[in-house]
Amino acid sequence: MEFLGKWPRLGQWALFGAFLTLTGCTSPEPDSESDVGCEIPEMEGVGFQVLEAYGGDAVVEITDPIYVEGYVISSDREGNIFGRLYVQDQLENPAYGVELKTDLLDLQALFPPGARVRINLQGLFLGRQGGGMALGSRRDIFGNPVLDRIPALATLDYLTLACTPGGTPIPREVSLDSLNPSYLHTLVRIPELEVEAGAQGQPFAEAGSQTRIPLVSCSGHQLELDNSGYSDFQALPLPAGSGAVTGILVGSSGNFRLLLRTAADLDFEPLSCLDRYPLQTTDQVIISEIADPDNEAGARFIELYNAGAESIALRGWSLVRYTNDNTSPGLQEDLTGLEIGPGQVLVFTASEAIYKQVYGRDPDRVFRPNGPADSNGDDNILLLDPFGTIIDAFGVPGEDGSGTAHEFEDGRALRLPRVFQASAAFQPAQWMLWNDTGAAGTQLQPRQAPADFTPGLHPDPSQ
Amino acid sequence: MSKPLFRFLLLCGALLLPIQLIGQSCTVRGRVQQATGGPGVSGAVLLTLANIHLGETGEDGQFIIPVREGQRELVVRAVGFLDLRVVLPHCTGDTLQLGPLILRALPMDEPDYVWLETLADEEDQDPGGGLLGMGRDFFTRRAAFDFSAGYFRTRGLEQQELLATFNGVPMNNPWDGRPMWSSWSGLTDLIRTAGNHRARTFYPRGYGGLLGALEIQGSPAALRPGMRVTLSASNRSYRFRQMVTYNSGQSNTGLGYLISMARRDGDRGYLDGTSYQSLAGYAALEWEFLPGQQLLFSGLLSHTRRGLSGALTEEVTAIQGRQYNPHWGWQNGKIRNSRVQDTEEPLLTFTYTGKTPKAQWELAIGHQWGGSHRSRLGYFGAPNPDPSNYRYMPSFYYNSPLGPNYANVQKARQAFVSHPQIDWERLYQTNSGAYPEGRAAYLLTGDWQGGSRWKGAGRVSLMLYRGLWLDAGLQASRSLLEARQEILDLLGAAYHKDADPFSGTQNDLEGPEQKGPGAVVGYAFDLKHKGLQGYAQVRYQGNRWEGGVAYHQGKEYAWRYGHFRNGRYPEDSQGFGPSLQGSSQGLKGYLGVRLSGHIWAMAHLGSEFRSPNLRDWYTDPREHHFYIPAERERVRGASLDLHLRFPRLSGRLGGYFNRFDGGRSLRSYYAETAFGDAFVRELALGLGARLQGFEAGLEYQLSPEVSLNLAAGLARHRYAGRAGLLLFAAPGAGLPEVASGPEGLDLGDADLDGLPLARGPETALALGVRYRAPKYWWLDVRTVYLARSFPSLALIRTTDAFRNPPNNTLPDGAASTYRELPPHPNPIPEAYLLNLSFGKSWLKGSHYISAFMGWNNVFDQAFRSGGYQQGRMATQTGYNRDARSGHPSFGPRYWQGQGRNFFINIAWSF
Repeated sequence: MEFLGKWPRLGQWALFGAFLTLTGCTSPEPDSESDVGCEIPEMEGVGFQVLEAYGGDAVVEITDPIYVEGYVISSDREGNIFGRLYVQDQLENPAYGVELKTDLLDLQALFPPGARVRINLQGLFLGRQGGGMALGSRRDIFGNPVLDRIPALATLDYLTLACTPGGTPIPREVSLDSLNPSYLHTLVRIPELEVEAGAQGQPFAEAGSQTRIPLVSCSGHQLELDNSGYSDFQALPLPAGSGAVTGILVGSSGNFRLLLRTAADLDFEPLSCLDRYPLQTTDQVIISEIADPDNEAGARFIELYNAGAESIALRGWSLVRYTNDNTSPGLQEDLTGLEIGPGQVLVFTASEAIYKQVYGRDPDRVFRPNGPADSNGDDNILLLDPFGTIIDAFGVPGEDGSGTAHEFEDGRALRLPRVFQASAAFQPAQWMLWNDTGAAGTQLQPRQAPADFTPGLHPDPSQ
Repeated sequence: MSKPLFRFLLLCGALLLPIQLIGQSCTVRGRVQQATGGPGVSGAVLLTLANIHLGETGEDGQFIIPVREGQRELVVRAVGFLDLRVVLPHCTGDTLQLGPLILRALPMDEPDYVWLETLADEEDQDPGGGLLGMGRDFFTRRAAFDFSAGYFRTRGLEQQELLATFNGVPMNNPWDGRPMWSSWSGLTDLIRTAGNHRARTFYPRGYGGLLGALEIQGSPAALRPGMRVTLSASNRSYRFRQMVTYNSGQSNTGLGYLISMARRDGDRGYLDGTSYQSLAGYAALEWEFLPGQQLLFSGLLSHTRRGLSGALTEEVTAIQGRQYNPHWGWQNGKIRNSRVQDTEEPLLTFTYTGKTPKAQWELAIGHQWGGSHRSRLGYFGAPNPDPSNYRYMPSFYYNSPLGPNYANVQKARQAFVSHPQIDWERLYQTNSGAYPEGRAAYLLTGDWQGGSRWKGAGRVSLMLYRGLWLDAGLQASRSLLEARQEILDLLGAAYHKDADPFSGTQNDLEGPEQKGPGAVVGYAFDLKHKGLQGYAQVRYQGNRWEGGVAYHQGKEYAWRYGHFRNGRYPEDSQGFGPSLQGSSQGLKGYLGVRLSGHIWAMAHLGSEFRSPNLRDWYTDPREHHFYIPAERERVRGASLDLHLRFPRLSGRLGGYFNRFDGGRSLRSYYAETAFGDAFVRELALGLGARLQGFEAGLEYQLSPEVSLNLAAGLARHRYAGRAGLLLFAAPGAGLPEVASGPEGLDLGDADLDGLPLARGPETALALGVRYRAPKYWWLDVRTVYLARSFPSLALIRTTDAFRNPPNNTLPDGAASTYRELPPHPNPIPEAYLLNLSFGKSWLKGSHYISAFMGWNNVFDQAFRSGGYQQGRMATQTGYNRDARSGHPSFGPRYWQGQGRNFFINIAWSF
């Protein structure tokens, strides 16, 4: 390139220099991210109990550089669980479960159920959702902090897949009446549930709105399903029959609810509770003792005795009181859930605390005041079977007991030991009565609690 | 020549040309030639230093001019060449014979390079329609280079109004009407001498479009013989280019050949993640077997692969900067862009040209095949991988229905800043753990559009009388346009379930539901197209006036053939659809009058009827055969130009007007309407527009070295009248059933009259100074002002259904006049730019080297070049709720103008 020599040297250098600087003058390349590998973080791994100890009921920020690891139990694939992820500490028999609120959609793709995940806690807020632990972001409502969902991209900073593989979470088998707040936000499986009569045949949820579906156990306890109107299975009808329900336990003590992941979480068989536990009737369950102590109205009780050789489930059975001379029934108490074995006795009272204090034992069920367990001695009480048939009767409905053979005011009514069969019509000869009137062959002897009564024991050995 | 005769001629010369004869004169004779040899330069003007016109050279470059005594210098000026100053030796006697005067060619101007690539590269953003750097028109050259940064559109017209031909073969894509820039992308040596005809100008080869015509001639006779090697560096779209062109010129046997090859590559352009790889080659063989009769065979291949970016909301750009591109991410330490366009459209042409003094004829046949792939990342039952998705933005927490959550606004912003790109590793990880086993949650697919086209054009031009020509021609084309979506990369999964994510229905009922790599998914259809057009025109070119009348007519047919039987439209998707027809007609005329020696006035008038582009014939050809019968669009327009050729001042002043009626447009987007939320296809019918304005391109020569120049475009581009809007959606998508039928859901009229069109800046000014030094270098500085550019409107927000919802309930019991925020767009903020260019050339023997450096936007101004409103919020309530917080989630999306960018070019010809 000798012709360039004709240029002034400075001009040449200027041209080349400009060329070089301008070609080199590129925008800097963005920094390369290190490969996403499975790195053990520099933070400290703690157990869920630390989390439990951290928070109370208020929303607190976790400032320590700690993390927990657990297993995912929820899935938003069918749209029933939205905006949150549930993690429990172990695959089987978990001790703790936590809800993570997030705005990240389609969590099941990144964190499928059973995956082992790590939650980096520093910077998250811990609080309560119902009775269970929850993690999220902070929102202030009228100056009060509440938990809100963590923004989607930020969630990926807090929630990552752990380095160890996951597994299949085993739901804890637990019956409805033994649910415990420590099971909240973990996976449970409750057997023998069916859809309550009024809700049978309805769809899983009303389109577009959150729907609570009442379930009832064969023993009469209740539980609700929390179903989303945007789920894929929202329009499916609720299955008939009864069976086990698997789901995540949410809510709080006394108000537990279940979150389903999929419609198949309702594992029903065509047997309903009635089919499993057919209604039983017998004429060998009798009212054995009714008490109205002179010294303590709170120690009133009523006692049932199974004179037969077989155990009876008192599903659908009831005791009903006809107050004074009323021909229409007063309070009726359902005995569903109770079972009375052969030779066994069940005692019911209206004031649990006084009864316990007086007799030193627990009643089998507490009834409402002014009901069959709270008679002042001149009422009539009937024992009905599930079909509404009167099995056993004390007194004559429509006839006030005062001054009759079925008065036990301030006293006691005791079934004689020789009676093994119930009687739909009151037979005074089957009874021994103490009261404060002494009419119609009854004993004029008010009775004192606890000495003169035998709740929980029949026949009375002293008679 | 005898003396009396000579004197007579001189007297004639004195009468014809204004020459001042004061004092004794001397006659100067000479010949003006090109530096690179060849014939003499005709039409070169000879001037005094004071710019007094002395004479012109004849056909062979010869000239004879009288020169006053005392006049010592002469300036020779010719178009396409650098001015030459000649020192006159003392005149002894009556005549002075000068030696040959050598003119050097004007060095390559930036427009010749940069805008051509800009057009091809940014096709999807349509930066500027039909901007041509060729030719003498100063305004269009300036508009091409300086205004294109703001996506300026000449006369507000889109690229499809420009007719392009390559070696006589029409090169507009029947699908969208645009010239197929990607066919010759990179081979700028071929384009340099392309013929440019401005709006409605008459030229022999055809009727032309509203923006005119571009005739690319890749023949050895049309280009400069010899070898040319070019090296370029830039930071605009590619980093480096190497180009070699060899032209054998025409030999004695009449044979000549031309080979050109160009390679471009770069890891990134101005925007992050936009890589560029291109290799292009061209070979042509010409044979003049008889004088005036030529055959030309050529083959063209350009393969370009580039990473794309997209338009972004203000919020995203404010957080990430103007070079941000959300579509790429790191994979194994390398940048991988999910939106890559891969184009390869080889072309073979055969042209036969005949020429006699009174007639010209031409037959050109071309065959093109291939197409382009555009990739995108899809997600099925997994979180959206696009980090700039609205749900990931801080604005999502400003607009939460429960009220803003400022803590989350901060958290979201931090997360977006730390995870700004696609996380490819996570995509692979998710696919490997997906349920059901092996099913792809993330998938890279490519939209392929291509096929084969045959095109032929024949024309005849006859000189009926001196200056009067009759031209007539026919064009025929037959195309098979194929469109389908293919799996490019399963990203670690085993198969893809080919079903629509919204409705769950299968896309290909006749095929398997699970598809593997390379399979066709989503949609597959062909459009068969046939077209026939003819034109006839008469034009006259005289000394004092010129004029012409032209008529053209065309007819076209198209059929859709669907390969897939679609689960959403099982009866209407597979097989042949109804065949559709379109026609076009046009009549135009012009009149040019020479008002004086310095001023020409040209008036153009035209009226055309035309069918919409093939792309808009079927409502949604990916899904079904449905169509809304097309009314033809009508265009009427006129323009008046004044061409000035004063000694110092030259240029053009012009005014134009174009009125459109009955146009149509089709768009797809997700909309939340008063009738439901769904992914819709919006068809606008009866669109009208009024495009009017002034153009000025003036150069003023202060001195032989210094010139001032001004380019100004002042326009007003508005919609006219009312249009009808129809919405189409898949059945079961959430809209009323009529939306899934052939008629669509009628949203009523869209009140568009007076609303602005998105056609680039309505005010564009460039003021510049150019210095041309005698030592063959030059410097050009321009200040550019671009203003009143508008984002493209969301038409759905101008309908009655938006303002008055059908159930007639407005939020919060507001009265019907409640309009909190108007949906009319504000103009994009103005831009002030400073552009510099510097060039130099060297001539050593027969080696000619030219170098130039161009620097645009020297002050690194941040500005937006264009944008569009998002149509998602299609109810007044929804729109207000989104906009009210001041941080809209669905605000307009903009393209960012380039910051400081440069272009360096060195070309060596020998």
